[in-house]
Amino acid sequence: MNKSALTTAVIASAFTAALVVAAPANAAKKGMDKCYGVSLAGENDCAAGPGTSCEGTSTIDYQGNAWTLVPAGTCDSVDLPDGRSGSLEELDRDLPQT
Amino acid sequence: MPDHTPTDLPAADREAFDKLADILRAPQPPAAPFEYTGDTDKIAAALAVYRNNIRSSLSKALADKFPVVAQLVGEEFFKFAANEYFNAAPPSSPLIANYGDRFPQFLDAFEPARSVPYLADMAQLEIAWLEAYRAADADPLDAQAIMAAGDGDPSGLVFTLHPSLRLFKSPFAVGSIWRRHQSDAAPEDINASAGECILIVRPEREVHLSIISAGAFAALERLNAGESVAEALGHAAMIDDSFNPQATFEIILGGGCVIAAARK
Repeated sequence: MNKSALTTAVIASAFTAALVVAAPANAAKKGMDKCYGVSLAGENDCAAGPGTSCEGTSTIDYQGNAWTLVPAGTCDSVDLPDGRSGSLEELDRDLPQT
Repeated sequence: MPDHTPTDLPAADREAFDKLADILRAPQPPAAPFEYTGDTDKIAAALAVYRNNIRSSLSKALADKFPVVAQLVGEEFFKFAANEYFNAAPPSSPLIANYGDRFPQFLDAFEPARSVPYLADMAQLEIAWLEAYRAADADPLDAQAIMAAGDGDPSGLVFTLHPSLRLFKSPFAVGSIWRRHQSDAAPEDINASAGECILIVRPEREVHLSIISAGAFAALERLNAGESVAEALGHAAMIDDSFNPQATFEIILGGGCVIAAARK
């Protein structure tokens, strides 16, 4: 868009037109209550759970096999057009010989 | 040393706590357990449990903080990365909510994650989401109030944007990938290498994440820096040939991005 075409009149009419389309920001506000005491995403004081017991000390120790672990989640369902979509294969290829 | 070591302890006690903290944070358990008297096997076993509990709970906190990163790489890999991150950057604050603030930088340099080049940006996006979630509440200004502040012409106005507003630009499609990993997501094909401009804002209780045009992004950046509406939109029009002022206002008004407006 040409900057010189962006007159104050154009801005004002774009604003007014947006008014019609955009839902008022606080339309949904009425009737919503704050919910205190809900903690999310590690915001509690202590992430209680398996770690509070004697969860096998070996399960978290990956020291020895850093290069045998590869991302195995959903990442290989996302395309990387430069040929690197198959993350599992890619990393396997770089593994040191055992 | 962490900044929260109690300072009113006798020096000898403080030293003992510091030593214990060092043992708990060290990547490997101590070769020779403590010089304390007692059953050394028992002490070593108890220390192993203590060390593991810390790693396990912080790994879980990290997975809670970065749920999409965790989904992307899978549980086993994430635990491994979390453990390596703990070794590289043990908590420096007693606030667990702040743990993981350097996770994006860590992932960026993390060799085993190299095949997922957008992982660090995804972690950065998840931090921005949490910042918006935790930001101060503020009531968005409605369009009529903005119009009134400008006497019918918004061009000369300077906006104060919402304290929760975050702008994030990535060379990868992290916004689309993030969306696909939400529970209500529809499956869609994503080209990860298509860069995206992302707006995150929490006008009310819910955090909204949207992918916006480069022009709208530039306009919001300029508005956030204190430029007037005319200046910010003028800049956006220069860098984005397809800049659309109306669509930009729809994003700004619909997102509840403005909390105050004044004439410059």
